[in-house]
Amino acid sequence: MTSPETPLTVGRIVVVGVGGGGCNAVDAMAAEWTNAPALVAVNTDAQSLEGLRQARPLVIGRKITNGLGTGGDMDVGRLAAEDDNGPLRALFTGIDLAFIVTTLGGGTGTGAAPLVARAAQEAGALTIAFATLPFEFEGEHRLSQARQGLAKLRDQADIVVVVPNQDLFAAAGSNLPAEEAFRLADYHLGMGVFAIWKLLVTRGVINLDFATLRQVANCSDEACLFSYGEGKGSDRAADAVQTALRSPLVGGGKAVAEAEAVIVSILGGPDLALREIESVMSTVRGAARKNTNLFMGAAIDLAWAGAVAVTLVVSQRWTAEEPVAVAPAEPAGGKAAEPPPAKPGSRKKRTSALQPSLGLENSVAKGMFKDVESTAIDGVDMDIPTFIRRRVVIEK
Amino acid sequence: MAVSPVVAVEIGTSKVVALVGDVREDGHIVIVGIGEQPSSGIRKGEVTDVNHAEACVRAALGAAEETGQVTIHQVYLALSGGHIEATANRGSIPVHSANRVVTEDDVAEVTELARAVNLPAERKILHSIGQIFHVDGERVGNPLGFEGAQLALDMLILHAKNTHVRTFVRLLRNIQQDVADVAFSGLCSALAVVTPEQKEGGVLVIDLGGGTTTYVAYAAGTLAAAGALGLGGDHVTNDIAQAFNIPRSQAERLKKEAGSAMTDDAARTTRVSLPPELGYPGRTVSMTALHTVIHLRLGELLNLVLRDIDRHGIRHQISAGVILTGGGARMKGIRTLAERTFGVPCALGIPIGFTGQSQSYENPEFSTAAGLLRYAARNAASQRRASPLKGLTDMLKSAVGRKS
Repeated sequence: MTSPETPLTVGRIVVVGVGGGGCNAVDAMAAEWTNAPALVAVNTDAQSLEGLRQARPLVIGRKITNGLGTGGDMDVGRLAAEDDNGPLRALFTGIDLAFIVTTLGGGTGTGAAPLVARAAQEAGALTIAFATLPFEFEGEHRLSQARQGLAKLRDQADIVVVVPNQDLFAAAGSNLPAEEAFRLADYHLGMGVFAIWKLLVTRGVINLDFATLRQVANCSDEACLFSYGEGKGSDRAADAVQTALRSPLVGGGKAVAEAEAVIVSILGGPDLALREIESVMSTVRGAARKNTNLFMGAAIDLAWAGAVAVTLVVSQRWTAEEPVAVAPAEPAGGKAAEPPPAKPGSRKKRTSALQPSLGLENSVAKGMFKDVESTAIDGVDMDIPTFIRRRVVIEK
Repeated sequence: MAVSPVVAVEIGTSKVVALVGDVREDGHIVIVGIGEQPSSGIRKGEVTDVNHAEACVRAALGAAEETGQVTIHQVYLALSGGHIEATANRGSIPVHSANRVVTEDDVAEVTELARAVNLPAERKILHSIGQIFHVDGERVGNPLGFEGAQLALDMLILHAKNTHVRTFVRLLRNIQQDVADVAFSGLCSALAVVTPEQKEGGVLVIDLGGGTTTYVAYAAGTLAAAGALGLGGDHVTNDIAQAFNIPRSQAERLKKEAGSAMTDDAARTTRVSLPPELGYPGRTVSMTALHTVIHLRLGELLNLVLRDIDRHGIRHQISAGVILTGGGARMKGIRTLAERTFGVPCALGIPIGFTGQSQSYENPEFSTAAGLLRYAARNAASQRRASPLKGLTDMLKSAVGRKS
């Protein structure tokens, strides 16, 4: 592994799309980027890889699927990645930073992405996974598959950034055609990877370095959320940061208010003013807790002249002190509880008993209602099973 | 005069139902066509996926067209969902005429006033239902001809979130269907299952749906309270799935086949077995544990309804009892639970006074759609009879208020 002081070069970064959605997202990114890092598209479906323009294809699991895909079965996706572990590991030789991009819910993305992340980890690369969770309309099966995949991915990658598609959908309005919705999800994934990548490789006004990223990874036990906002014109910085803060992807700002750490990435043209950077930072500072770690970087790109983009990567704090099954329902929009004492800066422990983040702790019990508006009565979320709220012990 | 058939559509959380009814001259309804389709894209009575919901409605309407031998262009729509609320409003005016006798003009004016409730812009009024007239504070049935200085009318305004109404109407337009009217599903269910005697005696009708529970209460022959909760049978299923860590499909089956809203001491040691499914191994579940989970959820739900009834101060006026209808009314033990909650007798409500396709009027799950047919028939009839004199008598007689 390279020491953190070594400047990161494009040559030591790889972006790997896993599964159909991940491959599309990576391929779409390539079209937008100049001087892009290595892009690889990993899928079980050989045919879908033929249509890609930029990313290097890698078909896995030919022996099992004959190159025909998994049929949505995550176990097949996992077996495919296990079978072709060799070629997967080869992807990360000499790599310092690996982005894994996937859409959870399908067979390959859900089953194989955790193993791809493991291969990257084992090669010594800092591994950042970007994963979407399915839209609600994709059905219960894909949702539950996605949740399992997310738990596994979190065990393998250093940082997992989650984009709940349903929230994206909520922001864009429910009349969005499905195709448009998926494209929007891809775009967001792309912007998330782009924002971090850009900060690391561009000579920024203020550099976010690799060491900082590792530090964030270390204090992040949970999946991270991220949001993105753009602005143009005289109030561009304020517009961009407000859009990012209010995004439903970070719970309309709730996640920022409760975050352990936030990475703020500011991307602008050569005309980006110091005062604008200051205003973005003070806005985020104001939205977060007092002792939240804020990491920031600002990068200049000629293509962004006249505009500002703000990306927030929000690392959730460890919340679960007691089993979720008896956690009292928090009133909607409830007060942020006192944060638990900061944990020693040890390497995060990886156990499968990790409490899910993203307010997923409730959604576990909320089951099929996790993606619909809560039925709240007197501030109590009635979707949570009655026996849990009343703490009645049920014999399993 | 030949009356064209009316079509009722209920887009529920668990199923979409379309009924075609022939309305006889005497108001009797023969159900001639029926279409039923398991729902997709609907949660808690609200659309979560337009494309799926659209496909379900199209399929249900197709089946109704086929069985009814009709082509459907226009439908009545039942609306459910926790966003529906009732607001009471009182209009009060001085009686105008010199001799202080209440005239039709006075009644029309006070009706207008009672309807004019101030609601936020995002609310859409579904029904404005006249409850009770008062002449100088004295309660009267029909105030015409009474003498007094002051005429007042209490009204119950049922209103819904406008965006939700529009989503449903748009959905039907997308499949080339006109929406003649939108009615509150709880009111429809009551229209199907309640007799005039029960209304007079005071009755509470609770429709336990898949995603929502709706209720209306009648006291002294008029509508006294109404409401909806975004809670239903799906919550029971979800609670079971969470309690025993089993998939939703297994929980649903467990609920239907072995569920009960009451625990039974005799079953304390009984266990119910679950066959293996989808990679989940087979296992057994304690009957008492299962019934406890259901009992807690449904007891809570009925208590929420009771709390609302109390808020309207009519708990002691529902002496004809509680009628449970909707799919959830089939749950074993639910009537006992309701009797204990409300302290009055409780009955299963199935559509009454219909003939035709028997599966539709002998089933609590069809109450809403059948009642909507009745609503539609009355609506059509009152429009036919509408005279320049505002059809006042209709309004007084009908329990169903017309749209404002």
